[in-house]
Amino acid sequence: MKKILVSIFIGLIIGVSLLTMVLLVLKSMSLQWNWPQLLPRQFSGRAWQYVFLEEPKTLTAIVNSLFIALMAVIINLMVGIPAARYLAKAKVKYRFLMELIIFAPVIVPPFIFIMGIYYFFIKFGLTESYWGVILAHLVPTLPYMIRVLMVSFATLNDDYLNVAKLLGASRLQRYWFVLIPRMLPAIIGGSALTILVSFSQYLLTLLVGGGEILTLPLQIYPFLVEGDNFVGAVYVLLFMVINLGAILVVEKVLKVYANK
Amino acid sequence: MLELQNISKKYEGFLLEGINLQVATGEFLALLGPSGCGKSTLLKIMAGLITDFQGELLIKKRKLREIPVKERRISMVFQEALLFPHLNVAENVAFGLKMQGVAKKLRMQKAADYLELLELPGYGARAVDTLSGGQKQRVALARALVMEPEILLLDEPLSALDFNLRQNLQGVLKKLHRQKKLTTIFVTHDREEAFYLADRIGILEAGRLKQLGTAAAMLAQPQSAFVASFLGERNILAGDFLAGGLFRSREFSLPTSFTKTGAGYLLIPNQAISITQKAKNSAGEKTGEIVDHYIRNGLYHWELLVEGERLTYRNSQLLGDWGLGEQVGVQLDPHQVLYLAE
Repeated sequence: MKKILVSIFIGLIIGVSLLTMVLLVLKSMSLQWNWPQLLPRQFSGRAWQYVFLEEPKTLTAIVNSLFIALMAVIINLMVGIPAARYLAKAKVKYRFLMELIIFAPVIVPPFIFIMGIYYFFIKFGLTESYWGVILAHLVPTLPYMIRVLMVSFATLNDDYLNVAKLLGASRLQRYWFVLIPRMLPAIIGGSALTILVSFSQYLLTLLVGGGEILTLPLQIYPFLVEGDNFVGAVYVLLFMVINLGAILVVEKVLKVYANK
Repeated sequence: MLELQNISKKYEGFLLEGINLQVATGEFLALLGPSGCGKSTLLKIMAGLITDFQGELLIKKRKLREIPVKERRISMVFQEALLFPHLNVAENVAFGLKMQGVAKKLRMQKAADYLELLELPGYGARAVDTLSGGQKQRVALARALVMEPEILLLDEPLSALDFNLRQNLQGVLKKLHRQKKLTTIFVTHDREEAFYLADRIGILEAGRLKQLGTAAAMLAQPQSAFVASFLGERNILAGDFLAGGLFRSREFSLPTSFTKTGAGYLLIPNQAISITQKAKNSAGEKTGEIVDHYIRNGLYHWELLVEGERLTYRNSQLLGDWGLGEQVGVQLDPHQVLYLAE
């Protein structure tokens, strides 16, 4: 009985997702699609042509989104690995409190922390710059990275590092040749989450970037709200492909590095 | 080679206290003790993995703290093999050489040599998770030895293996030690393993080194009831030594030649006991009731109740076909019993 319910539930999720994809594809290829038509009457490549050939901002938005997500992944790894190790391994007083502070950005409503960041970034002159946006993207992504890494660290036997140390590995070598390869599944997971969350930041990028830094969500939003949502459909598909592609590429790169 | 001067270390739940120890070049020293006695912590101190301890640790008269890690030439093998799972067998063995910057061709050649030494020829390209427990531990040994250390530290490397494999690897270790004459410190809770491998044995109890010496010397004169029982002695009686040398423990008494008086322990080694068919009124003979009998390690064992004390006697011969509850004559040779103060 439980099994059947689970199957139905999973089936529903997959079904709805696939249906949405199909509708998006249909929408992006149609000229007009009005209620109560079940299927569009006329098809056209207009929206696709607009997005890929006529609108130069598409490429800018893709490059910016990728660049910002990639930088967020790199910085998150550099900050997150030592932080997670400390939180998972060291005898930390008030560990719960420290975790709570780190996870606060994903617990409190986004608007609250975004306004806080905005206020401080204006004060420190960090708005309207790439680094400002990248820095801002760390806030909602780092908690996920640290969480995933912490679980992995908790099950890591420190004697692996002791072995490496006795075999003459320096601190950096121990990180590079032992710790990171062993933590790879968690690193991939944390990186994927970082990309995912970074990609979907709208308000944060809009405010901190001051409209100067164009990412995919910023480019898509107007089309979905009031503009041409045939173009919007193309952008949504593009967003999904790029997002998934970025995650797969990062995973592949990390795996290749680990096996070398 | 290695000298421990008054090493102390507070550790969760226990204390290493005032450990003094000298290990000669080429010696095989076993540190024997029950789990939680601090022997693994002591080994980690010797390895330089724990640095916040009191006292001094000298290697060839130099303070360990002042020797750079790369010049220490100490290798260690742990209870678990701890092979790096993302590397194959040869890469694991060559790891330390890679850290030293040895060229790939040379380090792979050396890895292959050491794998052969440990009877794993041709295993280099295997993934580590395809190995058995004993093979993994041999790879871990090869990984430690390829560094050509001067001191080899072994932290119960065989205790996770089953009996036959353990014996097999004990043989490998002994052969290696005879070949390479490496100064080796071996931590174990298995006295047979220590007897088999070590030149000298140090016995630890609750963070203190209780006795240090060869197995034979310690068996001949253990310094405490703990040491005696850890070395396998079964017949240790707590009681009082009275003036004139009489030992008394509840109903049990035995005249001895010891001059010490007061509370203490009487150790009755196996060779001090002999049992015979029950004779009547033989001088100095005690009556023992057979409460258990069995064969262990190829020896016949009899457990006897003698004047309220349970004694174990073993012999390679089946002395008599005594059943449970039967009475036998027990002779205890007062010249062969030992006095233990604590």
